[in-house]
This record gives sequence, C-alpha cells and structure tokens, in this order.
Amino acid sequence: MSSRARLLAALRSTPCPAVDLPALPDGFTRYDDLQAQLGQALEAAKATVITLAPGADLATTIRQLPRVSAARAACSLVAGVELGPLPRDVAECAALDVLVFGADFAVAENGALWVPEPVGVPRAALFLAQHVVAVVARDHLVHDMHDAYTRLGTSFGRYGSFLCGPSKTADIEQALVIGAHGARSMTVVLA
Amino acid sequence: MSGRAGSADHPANAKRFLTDPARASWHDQTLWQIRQKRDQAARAVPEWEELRSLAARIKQHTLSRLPDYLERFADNAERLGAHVHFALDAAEHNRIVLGLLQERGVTRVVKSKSMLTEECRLNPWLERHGIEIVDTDLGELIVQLRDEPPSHIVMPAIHLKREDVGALFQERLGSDGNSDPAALTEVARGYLRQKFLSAQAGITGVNFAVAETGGIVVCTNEGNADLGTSLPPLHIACLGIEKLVPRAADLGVLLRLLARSATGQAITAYTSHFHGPRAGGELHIVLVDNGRSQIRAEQAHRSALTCIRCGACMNTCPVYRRSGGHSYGTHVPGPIGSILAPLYAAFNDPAAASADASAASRYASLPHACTLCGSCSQVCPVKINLHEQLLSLRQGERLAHTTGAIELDRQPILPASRKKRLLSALGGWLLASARRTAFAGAVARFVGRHAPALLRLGPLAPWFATRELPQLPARSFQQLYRERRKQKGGAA
Repeated sequence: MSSRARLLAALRSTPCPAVDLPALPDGFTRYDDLQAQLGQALEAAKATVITLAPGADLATTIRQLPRVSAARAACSLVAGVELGPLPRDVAECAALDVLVFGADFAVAENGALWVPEPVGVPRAALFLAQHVVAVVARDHLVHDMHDAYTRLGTSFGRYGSFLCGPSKTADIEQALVIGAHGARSMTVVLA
Repeated sequence: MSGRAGSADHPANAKRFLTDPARASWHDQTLWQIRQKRDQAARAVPEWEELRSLAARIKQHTLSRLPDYLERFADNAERLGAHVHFALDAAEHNRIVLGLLQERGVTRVVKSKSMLTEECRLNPWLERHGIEIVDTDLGELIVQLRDEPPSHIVMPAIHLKREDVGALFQERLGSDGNSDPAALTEVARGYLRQKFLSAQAGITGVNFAVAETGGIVVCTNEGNADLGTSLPPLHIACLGIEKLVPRAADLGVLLRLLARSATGQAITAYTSHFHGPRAGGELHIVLVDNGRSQIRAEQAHRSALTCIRCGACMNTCPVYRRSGGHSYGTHVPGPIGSILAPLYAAFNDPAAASADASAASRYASLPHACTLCGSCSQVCPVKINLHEQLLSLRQGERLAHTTGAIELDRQPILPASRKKRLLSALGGWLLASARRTAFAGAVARFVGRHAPALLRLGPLAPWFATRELPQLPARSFQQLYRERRKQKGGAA
C-alpha cells in the first residue's frame, strides 16, 4: 500500500466532528480614495510612488526616473516603453540595473501588486534586477485582498506574486534593511 | 547546519539565558516591540476579530475533511504537471528528498525557510550524503553558519546582536568585521547570489496549499524563495499535511492575518503562488504526516494543527521573551511549540513501539514554562486555545484515542515526576487532617522565625531563588481567634 493510500486511510479511520466552511464576505473596508490608501500602504512598505500627471507620457516619465536614467542596463516589459535590449539569459538578468514591468492590479489595503509570470524574459529577472519599476493602471485598483482573490478567480498561471515594495529584512537586531536578496528599490508608477 | 536539538530542560536553559540580565532584557524588549507592531496592525483592521473567527473555521473545517482536500490538492497539482509525494514520517520525507536530488546528480541546494525541514532534520541528513544545502533566509543563514538551531520561527537570529553577526561573517565569509546591519546584509546578498546562481535545486516550505487549484503559496520578505526557485531547474516544496486550505479565496483571509500577526506588516514583500512547474523545470511537492494525523485525532489538541506559523504567540509570551527560543530544545519553541513537541514525540518516537511512552517526557518541562496568562491565545490569528492546552498537558492529560499497538491511552502524555508525585501525596496527607495541618504550620512558623535558612534547603529551595520569606507570625490565625474569643468570654 502506498504511503498516500495509508495516510488517507488513517485519516478516514479517525473522523472529526464536522465544521462548516464559512462563506466569505465580498469585501470589508471600502476606501473612499483608493489611490491615497495605496500610496500610504506602498510608502509603509518602502516603495516610492509616482502618479502619472494627466497628459504626461509614460515612457518619458519612466526614462526620466533617476534610477532608470542612471542605469547602465535597463529594460522594459511594458508595451510602449522601450529601454535597453531584453536579457536573453540568467547572466544578463543578473546584470540588469533596472527592470520595468507591469502589474495587473494593485490592492489598496496593503500595497500589494499582482505580478504574473513575465513574458519574454526569464522569471528570475524580477528578482535579479537591482531595482524594479512597476506600472499599474489607476483604474486597476481593488480595495482589499478579498477583492483581489475574487478578481483572480482560479486563473493564476504558472506563477504570480503579490509584490509589495523592495526586498527587505530585519533579521539582524530588528534593524530594517532594504534590499536583501531581491530588488533594492521599487518605484510604482500609477498610470 | 541547523536542526540539532539542544536539551529541552527549560528551567536549566532559561537560568543560563538569564545569567546575562542586560542581554535577556534586550531580548525581552525587542520581542515585545514586535508584539506592539502586531497590535498596531491589528487595530488598523476594523474587522480583525471577524477575520480571526473566519480563519479558525476555515482551518478547522479543512482538518475535518482533510483526506478529501489532500486528494483534491494532489490531483489538481498533478494535472498542472507537479509531482506529489506523500511521506508518513520524517525519515520517509528525508529519503524522498534525497532520492530526488541523487537521481538528478544534485550536490548544491539552496533552501528558503521551512520549519518542516527543521522538524525532519533534513539539513544534516543531506549533508551526511555529500550535498551542500545553504539556508537563504538571512536569519537562517546566520544560525546555519553558527551551527545552531533557529531561536524563533520567523526571526531565527533574534537572539543575536549585530556584533555577533559581524564577527561571524568575518570568520566565515571573510568580511571586514563591520557590524552595521546594512553592510552585513550586503555581504550576505553577494554571498547568497552566487549560491542562487550556481544551485541545482531549490527547496522551499509552503505557507498555504490550495486544494481547489493545486497551487502552493510561499511568503517571504527577502525574495529568497523566488530566487531559489526561479534559477535552478528543480523546485522541491515540503509541507505538513495541515497546511491545506480549501479555496483560493481563503487565502484572502489568511494572508490578511499572517504578516500582521508575525511582524506587524500588512503583507510580506513577496507572496508567490506556484501552480505547476516553471517552463522547462520540475516541481515536486512532499506532503508530510509525521504524527499530524494522530494529533488530529485528539479532540483536545486538533486545533493546534491550525497554526499558520506566524510566531505571534512567541512574541507575546513573557516566558519566551525572557528565556529565548533555545531554552525549549524544539524546532518550534514558545507556546505552540510546547504543545506540539510532547505530542509529536508521543506519536513519533520509534521506541514507543515498545510501549515506552516516555519519549514525550523529554519535553515535560515545556508546558510548565508558562504563566497561564493566556496572552498567546489572545494574539493567535486562528484562535487556538493555547493556554488551555498547555494547562491540560500539565495536568497529566491522557491521550484520548488508541494508536494501534501503542497503549498510550493508558498513560499520561507527560507523567508527573516522582518528586512531584511524592510532594503532592505528602501535601495531600498533611492537609487532609486539621491536626496535621496545624502541626505543620507550627513547625513552619518556628523554623521560619528562628532558623529561616533551613527552609531554603530541601524541596522549597528553587522557590527561594527569587523570593524573600515574609515575616512569619508567632501564632496562627486559629490560635489568635481562640484567644480573642476567650477574652470576650465566648466559647473557643
């Protein structure tokens, strides 16, 4: 008998009292100003937030970001924003100073951005680039995580992550250090 | 190499911890501050208590239908191209992981945080077989380099100061001895980046496994799980069977509670959802029992399996704060660890097959490392009644169900020591008689007034380690009462 069969048999031979699976609410807190809440949450997570001015050009704004203009190696996965050539392998990903990518939506309650598997570059680029710039449409904001999972349904793709701010750690004496193993900074552009 | 368990004699270990009162006080305050951050985060969520209730019911429901959800999860995960393995115990888990690595000629592995792999002592097992395994969470890397176990499940190096880490990195990584946390993190970043880039396999834990979709969720702040799984071609995800949730939507509830309870953050920097392997890669998921199915059968302790490993109970526990994680001698310390350790030991000890149920007694002091203040139960995001379970373990609780050949149901999980049984019997004999009680009181008052040093010897000695004897009266209340009644002319 396989371990799977033995385990399932053992579990089935010791029934537990029934506990109902609760229905989940549609969402809780509704924010009056989603952008403001998102901005606060992202700043708490040590991300920089930039709201695209009306009429401003996304590509120009991104190119003028200090980290992007100073970068030796930068590339963009966002349509309409062209920087350097896309990395073809892991070594080129590791050499990236800045990666610009799009987030499908953002969660106002906590500043989380849903970022699916990138297309055209290895997944590792998201974590190897020294700095990241995430672009999210301002009408793609949801209030809380319940809304987020309602929006996602069951389509997760092979990989998707809620990214919130740069990589960080407080493992040494609880002193917050930004830029542990992943991105040293995250700039979020609300387009 | 972490995972080596120290002694679980909590009072002796705690005494050692407290020989440096300044450091003990610093540890206490540091953890209390994390408790306060958790409070701030919880207060900012008006529906916090409702979320806790929902989370508790989601997890308890999952346990009640666990076999169905395990099957659903495995089927869905396999449909997505993942391989799902079941391990009945730690040894089987370790053999499965080793087999996967050896079949592929893997000798360089990176690992992100997994308390399950600590429980199974995977690292020393792999190292004995010539495989390099590097812990990539900064705190875990630090304790791995120091060759000691983590002292907290979320902040493994919380017991260390920056100077300790500075000296460690100088000795083991060749850095310049600078102890600034940012500089040290930079050293680790460079060191680990090389490890990530040259790794042949990445092992992760799993925060939540979703039955509905066959996906697994891994939360980190550092991004080490993502680096460790997006670079090497093989991803091995290890989890206890209790980590399942029924629906993706349940993650909405649990993720809102997890980081806030653990560190006071609204969410971790990376909350990654893996559904099947990466293109061109492999994903192997190892589901481990190792006593969980038995704990699930215990009515009084089933809810201990709903733990989402946030660490909030440790941060608030006055005893943990003032004794440190290493005092517990278990991979998961603190209130939840003091419940799980004796139970796992009772169900998992190979020697138990010979009806020696004393494997759990190694951890006998842990449920007593508790003031019963109940703070842990207050902060637990899934509302486990931690303090009640600790109390019942202290009271010589017997397991409620049989486990086949092992007649554990006849014996308490943690039998009282001989000394305790003798003292309890003596106390019972004395107090059962008014005359014996009065006599004992007279002796105690006499000795206490004329030769108090004698009381500091014998079985009461530990009590006096931190207490002074009050001024004892010459006569007992009964004697005074009788005298005053006589003076007033009444009957004695």
